Amino acid sequence: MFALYLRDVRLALRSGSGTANALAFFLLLVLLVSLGVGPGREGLAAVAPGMIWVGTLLSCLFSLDRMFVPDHDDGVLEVLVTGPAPVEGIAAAKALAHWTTIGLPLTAASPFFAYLFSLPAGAYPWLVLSIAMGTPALSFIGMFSAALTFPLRRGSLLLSLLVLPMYLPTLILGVQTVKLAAVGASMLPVLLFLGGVTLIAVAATPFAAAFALRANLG
Amino acid sequence: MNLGHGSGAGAASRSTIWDYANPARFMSATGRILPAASATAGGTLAVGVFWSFFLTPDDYQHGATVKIMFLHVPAALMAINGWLMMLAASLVWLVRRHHVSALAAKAAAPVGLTMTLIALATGAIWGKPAWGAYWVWDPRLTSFLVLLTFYIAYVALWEAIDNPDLAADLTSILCIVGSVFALLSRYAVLFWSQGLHQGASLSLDRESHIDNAYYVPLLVCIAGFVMSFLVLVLLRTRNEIRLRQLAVRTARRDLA
Amino acid sequence: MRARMLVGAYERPKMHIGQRLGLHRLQKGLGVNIEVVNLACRRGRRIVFSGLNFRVRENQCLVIIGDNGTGKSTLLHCLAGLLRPAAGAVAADIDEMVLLGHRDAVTARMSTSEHLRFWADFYGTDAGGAIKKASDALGLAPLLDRAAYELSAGQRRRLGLARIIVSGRRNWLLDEPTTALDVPSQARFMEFLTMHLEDGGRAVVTGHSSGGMDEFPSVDLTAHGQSAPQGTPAAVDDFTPEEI
Repeated sequence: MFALYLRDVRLALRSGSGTANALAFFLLLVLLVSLGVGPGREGLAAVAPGMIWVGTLLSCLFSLDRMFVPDHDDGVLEVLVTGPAPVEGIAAAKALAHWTTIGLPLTAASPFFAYLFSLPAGAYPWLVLSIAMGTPALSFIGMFSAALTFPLRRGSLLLSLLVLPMYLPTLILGVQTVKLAAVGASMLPVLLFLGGVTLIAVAATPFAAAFALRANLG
Repeated sequence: MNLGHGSGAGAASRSTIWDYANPARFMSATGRILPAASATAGGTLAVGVFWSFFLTPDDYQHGATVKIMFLHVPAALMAINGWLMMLAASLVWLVRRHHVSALAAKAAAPVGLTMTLIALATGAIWGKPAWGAYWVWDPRLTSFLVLLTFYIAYVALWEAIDNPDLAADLTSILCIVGSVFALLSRYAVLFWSQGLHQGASLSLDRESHIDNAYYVPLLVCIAGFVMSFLVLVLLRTRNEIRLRQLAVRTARRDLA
Repeated sequence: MRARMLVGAYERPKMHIGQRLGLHRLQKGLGVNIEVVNLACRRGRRIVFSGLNFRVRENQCLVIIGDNGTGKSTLLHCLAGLLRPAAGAVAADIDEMVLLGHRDAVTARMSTSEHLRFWADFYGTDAGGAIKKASDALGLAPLLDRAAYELSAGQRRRLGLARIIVSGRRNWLLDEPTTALDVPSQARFMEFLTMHLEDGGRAVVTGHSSGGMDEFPSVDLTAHGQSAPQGTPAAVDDFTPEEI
């Protein structure tokens, strides 16, 4: 399982389809939003929490359809599933590798993007914390949805359709944490709820995804 | 009704709910009750709508628009209950592998989706005179929009997979996991709209706020919607079973 | 020794809930031979073969032959535990099965040595020894630093076969293993297959005919197809004629 995690992390860092693309996409999004909203610092600051979270969400989403599809095409997935590791562990390793190569870099880069959006200074720690706490949920929910759709020929549009409704709690709570922090209000209950959603996702989705993987490969 | 294991050889006379998991038993039983059930559902709905539209007084505050409630509240109720029915049917499919259960879940989805659409549309029509806009990002309305996306995702997954048993497996697990996140977003939305919009004005559906002149016809409407939902789901389930039987027969003929 | 029993549609009422959910229940004491009893398998909605019986003991290799579409790959998937039987049962040791499908399980952007090291870690076999043994058996030493996308089809097949050795498992399920292999590689393959069998291993190998492996017993799946008189299982669906 750990071997699989290391392999997936290495492959994501090596190729253009992983970390670098997600960060480049995010930078482009910042550029697009700034051009769309206008250069005024107040206008940008008003949309900053929402835009940073939507950007994180989309960066995660676009990297999901590569989670199982290449391994399935190469025949690696059926070997992994028949190996000594439990299928739930394989699913969790895939999601963890996705978080390490997408969620973690996005968390690290978020203060930089927040600065471009003129986010109020007091909100920075809470932004980083909320993204660090929310992105594992995005990876695990995304992994589950990818496990449902990987054998389908035109699975990536369907994947977005399945993933986005399940991303909503994380998005709402993440944005709300940052918004409340930006005006200096207490955001602790929201942040804890966000952590709870992540814990539920991390605890439940590997089992559901393992079921989906077995069904899809059978 | 016995929820135990299916009737064994010795207990053939004792009928259990699981007997209807057999497609043939299901077809004959539902075929017998369907005409009466359809008539009752249609009659109740007609009486309820006529009563609520023409025999109730206008509200002192909202005027005639209050009558939208008689469609809105039952539709919203069935939108949620439709999803719950799919959840139960999905669990039965996963645990006991009864095809009728999976097909019932499949059949309920478009009906529930339509109920959600009715609830959203009537809500919008109500919103214009009451709140001055067709759409406001009220927590309840938003929750229904979220529910609509879950319905769409569920139907889309059914449509995307050719193998019916695999589709039943995957949609069932999606329904279960989706229910968890639908519930979470229901409560997350409450945080989100804090400070944006005061408490929902839709409290009309609470008993304490409603006069008997509205309450009784509302109950009749709800009964009509519940029965119509059940009849539609039964009809669609029967259609799905017929389609499966057709597929099996076609496959047999091709082999022969 | 862990062993697994896969139970098909005929035994449906006795199935454990976990099996219905795809979590195959592990049972002990079923022996370590690969044993197939009255097996039928389904691909999509179609029963591809039925009424299949065989047992593969230590030191034995069984060759599965049959025309295209008679379910050779499906059988291997079923033996590997990927596919639930439509009827009948498979008894085998779950920790000893290793599958080489018609795809090689080779990742284009990883080098040959990375592949071998990853699989050794994944299967928890002694990294140094197993890798050396596999690369020697298949002549991979000159290719170790090459990325997989630079390999030819035959070289990729050899890398796929190397995984079977690296896995350290005893029951090999090989789907047309000699596809794309040149003559010296085929000879090398026969050599290490024979060695594996002498070491107490078992193998189930598919091929279009038993060409090249005439010495092993074979089963012809064509005889177990839908048209065969011994196998028309009733459980095509829940929607059988009696129920319609």
